[in-house]
Amino acid sequence: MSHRLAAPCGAWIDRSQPLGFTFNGRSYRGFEGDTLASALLAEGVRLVGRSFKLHRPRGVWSCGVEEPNAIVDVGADGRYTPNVRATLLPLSEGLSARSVNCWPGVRLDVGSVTGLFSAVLPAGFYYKTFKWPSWGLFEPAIRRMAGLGRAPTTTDPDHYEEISAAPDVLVVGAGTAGLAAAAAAARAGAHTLLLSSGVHVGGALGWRPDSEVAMLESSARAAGVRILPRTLAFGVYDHNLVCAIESRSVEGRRDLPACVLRERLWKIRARTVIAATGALERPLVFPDNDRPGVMLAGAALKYALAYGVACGRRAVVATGNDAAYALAAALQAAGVDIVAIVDRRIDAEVAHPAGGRVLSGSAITAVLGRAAVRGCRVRRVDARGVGTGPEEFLKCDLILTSAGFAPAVHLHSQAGGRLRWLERESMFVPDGAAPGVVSVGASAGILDAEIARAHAAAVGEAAALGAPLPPAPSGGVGSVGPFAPLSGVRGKQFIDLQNDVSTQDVALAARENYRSVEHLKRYTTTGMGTDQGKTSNINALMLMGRCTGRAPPEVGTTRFRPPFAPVTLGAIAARRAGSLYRALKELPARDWHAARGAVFEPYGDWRRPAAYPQTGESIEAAALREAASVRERAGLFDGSPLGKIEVYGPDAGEFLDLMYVGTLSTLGIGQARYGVLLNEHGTLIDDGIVARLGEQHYWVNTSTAGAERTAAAFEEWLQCELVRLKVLVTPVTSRWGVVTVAGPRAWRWLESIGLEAALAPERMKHMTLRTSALEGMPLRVLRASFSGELGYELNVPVDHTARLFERLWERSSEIGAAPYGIEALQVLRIEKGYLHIGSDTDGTTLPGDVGLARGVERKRAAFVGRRSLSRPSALDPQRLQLIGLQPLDGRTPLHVGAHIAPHAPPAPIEGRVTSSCLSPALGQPIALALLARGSQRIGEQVRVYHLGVETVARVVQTPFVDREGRRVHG
Amino acid sequence: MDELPAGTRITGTDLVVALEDTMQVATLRYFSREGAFAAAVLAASGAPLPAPLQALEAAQLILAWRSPTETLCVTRSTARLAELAEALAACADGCLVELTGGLRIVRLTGLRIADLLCRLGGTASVPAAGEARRSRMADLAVLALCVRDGETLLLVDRAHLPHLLAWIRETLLDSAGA
Repeated sequence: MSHRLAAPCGAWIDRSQPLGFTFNGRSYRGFEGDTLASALLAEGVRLVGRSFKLHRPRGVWSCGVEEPNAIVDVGADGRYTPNVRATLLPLSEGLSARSVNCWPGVRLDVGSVTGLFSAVLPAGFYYKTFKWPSWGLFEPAIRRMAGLGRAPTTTDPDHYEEISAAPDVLVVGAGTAGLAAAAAAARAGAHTLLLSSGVHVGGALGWRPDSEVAMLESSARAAGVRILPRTLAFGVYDHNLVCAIESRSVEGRRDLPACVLRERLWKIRARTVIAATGALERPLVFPDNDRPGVMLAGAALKYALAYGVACGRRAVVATGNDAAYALAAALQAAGVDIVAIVDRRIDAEVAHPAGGRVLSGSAITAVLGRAAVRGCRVRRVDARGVGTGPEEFLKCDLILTSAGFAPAVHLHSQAGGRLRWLERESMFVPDGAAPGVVSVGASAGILDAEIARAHAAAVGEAAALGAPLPPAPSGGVGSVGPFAPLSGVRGKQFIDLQNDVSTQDVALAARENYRSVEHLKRYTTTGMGTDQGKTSNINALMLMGRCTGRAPPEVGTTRFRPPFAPVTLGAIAARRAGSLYRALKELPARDWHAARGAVFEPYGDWRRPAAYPQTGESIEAAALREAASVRERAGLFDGSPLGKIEVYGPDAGEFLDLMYVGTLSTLGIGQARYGVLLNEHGTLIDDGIVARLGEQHYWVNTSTAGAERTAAAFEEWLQCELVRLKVLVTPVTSRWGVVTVAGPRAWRWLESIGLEAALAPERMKHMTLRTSALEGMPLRVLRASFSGELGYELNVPVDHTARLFERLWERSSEIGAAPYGIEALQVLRIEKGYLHIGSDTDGTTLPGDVGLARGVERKRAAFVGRRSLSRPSALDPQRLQLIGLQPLDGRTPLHVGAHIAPHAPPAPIEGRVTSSCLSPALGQPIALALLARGSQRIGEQVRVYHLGVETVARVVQTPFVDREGRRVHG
Repeated sequence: MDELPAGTRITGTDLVVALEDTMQVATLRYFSREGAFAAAVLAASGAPLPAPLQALEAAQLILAWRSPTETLCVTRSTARLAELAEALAACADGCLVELTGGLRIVRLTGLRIADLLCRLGGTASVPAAGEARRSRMADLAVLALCVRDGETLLLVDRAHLPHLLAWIRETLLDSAGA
């Protein structure tokens, strides 16, 4: 039975501060400084979770990031977090945690019936079993069973942020090697940042009464090292970018304010990264090595000395290396009775320091107890793992396992570093430094503390000075026994505890020729899950080596990928949540629109008024009313997002001729022309109006979506291809607000607020531009229309936008005018058959497909995309062409995206609906569509399919209204 | 301005963030740093076109390098900008384009400017005195310029200003609570 030890054990807990918490609905007590795992162990709780596949009972296995079993859900509502490792979760008053992957509870778990069928559930069973009659039949149930924990369903109230840093030297890991390296680097003049994954520094020595740690820490601080506690580096990315998570608040803590800064994502670019990430203890493999009460030996010592918790009263230490002996002695001194050390090595030459029993050449052949260890049987075994003598029963409640160490080479490997295998120590170590990352201490395979500190200090100094890095004197762990699972024993010998991968599964993978370590991982799932196989990977690959007659280096390791440990999505998103999720652009007259009842919606990069609904009116109804108002009287629209680019220079005209299908160099000053841009493939990418302001000066309007990409395309052509042209391209979209006035009464309205008579339609033609002014507001007035009505686009310095809107609004009632939003604009332009690039075109649409062939034919000069228009595919008579559609019944809407086909699907698709609306002018639905040979099929009936519903429509010419185009002239 | 109250000001520990409502902005575009246009800028401002990443202040004008063919000009004086525009109007090898209102300016003053900027963008976003750095901050394109220690100007597209200010506000609130 695990229990609390008396002081001096428990260096990290404060016994004067008791804390209450609940686990699986039951109340317990712990101390400030405890983790959830240590507090549960102190309260005698052994059973903390269930395994993923077989739902076997599991207890705390480790004392750190490598934990595969003690995975819990913490908190509630918005602060609920799934799959938190209890071994790292600081205890707090009122904390509430629950086991994952069990129902109705961890003690009685219905899912454990799968264990009864474990013999028929080997690795890869579902790849083979669920093929007949159909995978789809089983998939829903399997998906429900898959995964650990539940995703939160309510909004997280807390904040996350990201921060950048660029120290000269970054040291990851605050063990003694990390401290020594950081102190040396800082003393040598480097700006040094040190990341400590826990609250305490010192690593494996941090909880021992070791004055060396305190001295190193104060030395580092004195040298100017900045130490970040509770900050875990989880990945090395391109160009030496190290990402780390800093925990700012305590998971599951009850007494938090309404919103806290929960985690901080560090993005660190250092000249040199020193990885001092330590080593992970590797377990031995024996039957039922997953029972609650079996755990890593080093973890048990840490629980005893750091948290004052004895993980059991009577322990058997199953080992294959020298280090476990000193550990057993320390545990004995702390008050845990070491029943025996069972050493797999036949030739082990280490004596039990406390004079207890040592069973050399022996192994545990059975673990007794299901939900808690009650004892074990041991037997002498040979080098092949075959029993050679009688079994002996050892009564114990704790089995500690230690087969050696696996240096935490994750960061080194992520950085592209190579590994080499040390046979004597049975471990992979870094083979020199990785680009930008050098390993020190146990992560470099240096397991002698003094040698590690000296080497780390030398590395720190060299890194600071840019000197050659000293090689790592790896080793120092003593001898480690060979890996040999037992044969001829009952019970599963687990390799990967979280995923229930046993030695049989690995052997099966080998028999079925999944010999590559990457195949082994996918086939058996070993190394997957929240722990990513931190205590199983080396054993798995060594076993695969044994099964296939290969040495571990020949088997290799799976690729180490970030993150090293699970990272919350909140931390990755950082500030990008809620209103900051996406940087939408705001209109300069946003408040004016809001005051007029605008309903805003995102359209591309902008938040714009969809419509201005009246009380009880839907957006759709409002759009129809607004569109009708424009046709009958006048409307007011905010066109400020339209792209605006000033093109200046002696070659500006020539340049624009190359960019646009139309010829723009012939424009007179004050004239404007519609133009379309193509890419090199001849595909339409944008359209707009180009006006000439001066001899060398053009005013280019683009679509809203095309504003930035058109300016970028202009720059790219000028910088990469047309370098001889002297042209300056300056985007000015945000400098100018655009107030659009459209409708038969548009001029009357403008005249009423004082615009000069020279702008009247009879004196200023359609597609011309004039500079003017109103009440001190300079204006660039463009006569253009996207509604088919008489239209003026008043470009005004942006700070005056709202004022101009307001001036017009003051006279709106006399005109009977109303503001209109994007939805009404869509209705108006569809009625006129006006193209919207991106909606009515796709990545294959050519000018000829949308009725612009004449413009191409008329232009003799070169322009971007011209050559592509003569390719055979561009001349294919079956090309999709833009046409109009009207439903035969005059009432069924034709939905955007609906397919046009000769009969119900499956059928060859002839086209699709690209824009659709109910036309207030016609009183019936209309649509634009891309249809194969569309221009030759005017008058034909076609079948339109949307979600299984067929609608018959007639192909018609556009525009739907005002075919003669008279209205645009007023 | 319409979208935010005039004189918007956010105060944090050792940091004041203020929206500049009165500054004028123009961009100077030119084909060459050695031509007549550059000479006219020197004559009008007393300072040459800034070198790459340079920001300088001369005769009430702040000039900040933006690209090899572009220098931003920021000033409180409408008259000075008008004078400069007039002086440059005759130069055929460049032009001045008014951007006032289109680019908005956020002034940062205090000791913790770098702390804030590291939370908005990368460390390369932080300009030293005499530098102008164009980078991604708060997921936006922002030019940060610093002509003297303890003060940095952030220039951002007007349409994105609310997003930038909201990001800064949330960052400072979190700093205050930390």
